[in-house]
Amino acid sequence: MLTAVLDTLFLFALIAPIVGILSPRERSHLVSGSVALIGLLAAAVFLTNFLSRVFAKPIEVPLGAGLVNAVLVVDIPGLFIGFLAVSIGILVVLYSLKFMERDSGTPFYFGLLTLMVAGMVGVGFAGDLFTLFVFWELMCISSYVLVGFRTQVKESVEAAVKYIVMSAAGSATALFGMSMLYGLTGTLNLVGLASALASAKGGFWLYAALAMLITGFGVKAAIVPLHTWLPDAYTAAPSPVSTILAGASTELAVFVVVKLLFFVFPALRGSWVMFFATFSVLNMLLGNVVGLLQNDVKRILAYSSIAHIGYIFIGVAAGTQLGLTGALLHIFNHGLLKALAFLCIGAIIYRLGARTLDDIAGIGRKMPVTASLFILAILGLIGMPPLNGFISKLVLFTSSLDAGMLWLGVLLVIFSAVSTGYYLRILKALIAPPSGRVSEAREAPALLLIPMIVLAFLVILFGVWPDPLLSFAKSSSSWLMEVGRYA
Amino acid sequence: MSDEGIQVAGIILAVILAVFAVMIIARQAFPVFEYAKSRALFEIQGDLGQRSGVFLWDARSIDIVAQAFVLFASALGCLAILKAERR
Repeated sequence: MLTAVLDTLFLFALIAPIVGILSPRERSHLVSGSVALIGLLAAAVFLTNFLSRVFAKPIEVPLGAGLVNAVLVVDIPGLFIGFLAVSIGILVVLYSLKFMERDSGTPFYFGLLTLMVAGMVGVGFAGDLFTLFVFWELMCISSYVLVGFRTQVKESVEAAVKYIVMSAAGSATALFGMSMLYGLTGTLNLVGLASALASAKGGFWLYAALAMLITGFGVKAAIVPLHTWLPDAYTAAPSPVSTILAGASTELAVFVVVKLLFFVFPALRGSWVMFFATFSVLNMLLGNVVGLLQNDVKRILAYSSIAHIGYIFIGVAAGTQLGLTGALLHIFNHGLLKALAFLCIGAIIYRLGARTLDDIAGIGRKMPVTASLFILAILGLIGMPPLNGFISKLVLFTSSLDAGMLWLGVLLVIFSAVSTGYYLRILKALIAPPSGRVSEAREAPALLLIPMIVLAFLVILFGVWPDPLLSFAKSSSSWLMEVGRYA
Repeated sequence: MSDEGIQVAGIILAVILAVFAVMIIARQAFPVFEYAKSRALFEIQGDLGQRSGVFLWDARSIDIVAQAFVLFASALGCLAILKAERR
């Protein structure tokens, strides 16, 4: 009905809470989690099946949809983001089987997690702005509840309320922007919009529509100054939720912004390029400087995400195919690295119940595997070769030179060096001699370690052998920049 | 500046921006379908209610199905928030 991937995710999102509620209470999280996991694995298989078919031509659902029809388009950029969402979803569900065992209401948790992934895949596949919005809301509503899932924790509820208010205002703004675009072009179909605006010369209302769309989706993409929900939500959410927010949801929002700019609004490139150069600097500056002042590891990682979104915007500011390739590559690589980092701190929280630098000092001696994987994630985030973070930062740097924006490339290097300051503080805490409660800690359980090891493997694999991912990103950027290929 | 001072400054700035935005919007005419390829999008005659229903199911069925799952997510979210806590 809505492609095999989405149908499977919806079906298992329905089944997971029901079987969880019907099973004995002590096993409900295992039953519902396993059902969600099977659904996500099946969705991954269907995504892989699409891979061989979409390289020649995107698949349109329903076939032959017109300009006013809601449509899903399975294309290479959609698969690119779909793979990120589903793979992180699988690892997060696996991790949650152990991490969430002490929580109540886990059947709802796994149902919402599956719906959130379905929303993300739907946004990636949407061929129409309103379809995109409906799936966007599906992702957002699921994520609001997941952030505030632990209703007995005040910090969690407070972060969820802040997130809901800001994100809802963002969604309303984006919807307003969409209505303006419909008023201007008579269509919401993305290919239709792209061809209608191909030779647009600007004008107040077109700029207003663009500004509203970027502001609306920019809230979720944490564009400074719309980022204020992010550090609270990432910190207060249960660690698997922080992982999917940082690894997939925020990356998806950046993807939507990038897709709108390069696919729908290329005619206004001259205007948005300088704006995104400014946003890039603001994100890098605020993320890295404020990150230095934090003592909570999850908060440090949250500010690091804001900085990395700034790095991605360097590719957007370049405005070239190389820049777009770099941006897409960093969306994927940063998603993997940040997911690994959040899973590692989650494992430490699971064992220790603490997340500040002072409280976790020395944990590396007691949890050597977790600490080693955490160090790997940190090195990847810094951009050390031969890890995947290095490759995408290199492409972004090259794209800035290619676009004649050397200053932006130099800022990327400088801010990467600045970020080393807070990453090294985490490193120092991990390898410090253990004392107090840390001395009693043990290595994380296998169910928490498996997803982390898989992510670490991918981080190294895409660092030493970046060709498949690079060509995937290159194909995605080429489809996004040549609207005529969708005809 | 104290927190209250920042809040007052923020409110004043928001009001000024809102007035400014209304003034600009009032002066700019909205060029309806300026970039549209076809202006005759739908011909509406006869039973509007039935036709809009047919349109929704024919042309926006994906959105309607997805919207059903948005409602399902909302219901699931309410249940998750109102769940009984383990002691």
